[in-house]
Amino acid sequence: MAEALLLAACLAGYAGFGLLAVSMARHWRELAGDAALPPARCRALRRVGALAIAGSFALVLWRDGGGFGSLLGILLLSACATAVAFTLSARPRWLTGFAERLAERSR
Amino acid sequence: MVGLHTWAGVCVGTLLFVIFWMGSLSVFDREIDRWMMPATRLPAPSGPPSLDATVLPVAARLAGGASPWTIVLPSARVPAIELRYTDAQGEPVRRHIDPASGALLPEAGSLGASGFFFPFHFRLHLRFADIGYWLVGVAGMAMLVLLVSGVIVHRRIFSDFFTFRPRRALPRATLDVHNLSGVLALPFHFVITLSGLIIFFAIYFPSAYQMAYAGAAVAPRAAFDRDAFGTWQRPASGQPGQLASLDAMLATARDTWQGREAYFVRVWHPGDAAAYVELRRSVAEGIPMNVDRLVFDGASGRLLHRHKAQPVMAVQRFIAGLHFIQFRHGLLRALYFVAGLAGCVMIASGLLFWLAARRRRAGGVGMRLVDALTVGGTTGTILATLAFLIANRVLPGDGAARAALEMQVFFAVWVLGFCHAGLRPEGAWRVQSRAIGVAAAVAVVLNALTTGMHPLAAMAGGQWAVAGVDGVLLLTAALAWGVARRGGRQPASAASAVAGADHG
Amino acid sequence: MTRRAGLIVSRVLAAVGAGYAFTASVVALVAVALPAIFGMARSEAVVLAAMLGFVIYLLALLWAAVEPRLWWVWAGLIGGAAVSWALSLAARLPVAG
Repeated sequence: MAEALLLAACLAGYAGFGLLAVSMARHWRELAGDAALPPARCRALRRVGALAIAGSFALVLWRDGGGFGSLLGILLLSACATAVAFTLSARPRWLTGFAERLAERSR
Repeated sequence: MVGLHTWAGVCVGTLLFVIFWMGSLSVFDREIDRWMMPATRLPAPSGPPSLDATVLPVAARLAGGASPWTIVLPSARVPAIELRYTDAQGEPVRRHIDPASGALLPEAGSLGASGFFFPFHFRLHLRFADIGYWLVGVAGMAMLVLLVSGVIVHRRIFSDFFTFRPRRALPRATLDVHNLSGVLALPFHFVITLSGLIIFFAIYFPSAYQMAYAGAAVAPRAAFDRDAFGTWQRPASGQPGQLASLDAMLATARDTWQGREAYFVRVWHPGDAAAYVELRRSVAEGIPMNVDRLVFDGASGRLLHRHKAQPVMAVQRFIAGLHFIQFRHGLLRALYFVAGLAGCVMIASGLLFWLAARRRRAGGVGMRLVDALTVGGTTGTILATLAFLIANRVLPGDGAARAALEMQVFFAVWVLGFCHAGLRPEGAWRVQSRAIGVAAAVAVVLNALTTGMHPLAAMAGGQWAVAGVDGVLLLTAALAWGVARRGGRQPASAASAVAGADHG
Repeated sequence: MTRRAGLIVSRVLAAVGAGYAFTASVVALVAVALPAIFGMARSEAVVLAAMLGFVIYLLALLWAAVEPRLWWVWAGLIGGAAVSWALSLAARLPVAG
């Protein structure tokens, strides 16, 4: 149970920061090329991303309680954001597909 | 703000790196202790030991005339009972006792990580006039200034939030590493620096207790400690006395603290009729480093005094606790270690960026000095740390002399690292990275040869501390070696060199 | 020493030295004022004041770095230190025990 919650928190944090990264102008250009990201879609991405990050933090709080949970939440989110940064620099393909599909749908 | 960030960084960067490095190592100080003190690699204790049966005979024999005796009970991280006292020459002594058999373990002949890296982290082993504390305090305040000014200076860190381009030219790639490690671990770095300063509030702002307790019957500091920390004392009577059962006092403490255990026992004036025993509550259960204390009469075992932190002090102990991480939480411990190393990477890459951006313009004495300080302070510090571990496995002799020699090896290699970087600046970091790669591997081999416990045997025997230290050393060797090789092809990637080498 | 270097040294001294003097005095004042005004326990006030000190010092350092008028940095920090030191001497309570 504890491990499952932790895994879920990691995934939610990674997905949340991934969505935020895709919504940012410079990363969107790197991932999707010239296709434009409509402002409404951008806002939606950010909203869902922020929600996922908050969800990740909440899961950790639920798992470890207020004291350990808040420390673990902060450090875990830092680790998730780092993982997204490394994904963008080493394996951008993992996010390209997602961005392209989004670009197609917004057309 | 740009000038502030640059010059504060250049001036205290090396010192900050050393503090962050030693702090990161201190996160796992007990585990490194097991590696450095093979006699204490015991199986995890099964239950609370009997102090009356195991410790008191040993303490009476070894430390008869000394006061106080300090006993640290075994825990998940430290399987042996620790006995500390001051010998006839006034030197502090630390011995270990097997809780299962009551046998006195052979002298460690080493300060270990908890006796060397940990004090290094907060007072740099400079005891004279507290100068070490003050240097660390200045560096800590500078770190806070650097974090605030850094957010303002590197304005684009938020629009570049996830940007990392390791294949770009050196200044750009280094700046990416600096910004990335800086911004992603910013909450941790700010909290850990501020909490580190707050631990020593009484050293850094003595004016508070001096003014508030001016005119007290005792010295202001003593009066403050009595109120805040529950210090309790009485003089020895000069009459011989018998010590009541420590185990009974531990049982009383357990009842008083609703089942929570003591971790620390201190016997004042042992053998005297006015002896008294101080018990401190375990700090392994939660974040706060509580100051719950009980004082018992040594002769009768009667409770004389109890103390509990008041609200503001409780907040201070919470802040101190989240810095000390004495609590039981393996995952948080590992993340602290990684985040601390991220701090090392941030500091080193900041210095490297300054050097790289300036090298294209002009050299000079100042440049060369910062260059030597940066290389000696980063790769040199890591190398000296590894030399310390190697010395621990090969030095002959025992006792305090051996422990002192071990420390001298660290400082000798450290000075050599600075000299090397100063005299041969071209590619000094690469030579040192290679040396780190060799030294880390050698340390693992030496541990296997001298104790017979190679990493697989350690894992099989449940000695996770030893296996973990060996594992991190092997990882360091691989990283440092790979980084030195990659850097050989492309002279401009010192940034990734330091970034990689730091993961030890 | 050039004039520019002199100004920088003066600013660093003001920030680090006068900034610390200012902070230490304010900390002392808070440590005696809280028990005198709100009846807070003496040791608690000491801890609270000293913890606040780090934040006050940080703000003083940053202000000293960005304030364009250097004389105003010196005057503000030294003046503030003197005033709070005097006030803390006046607010001091007798200690029982």
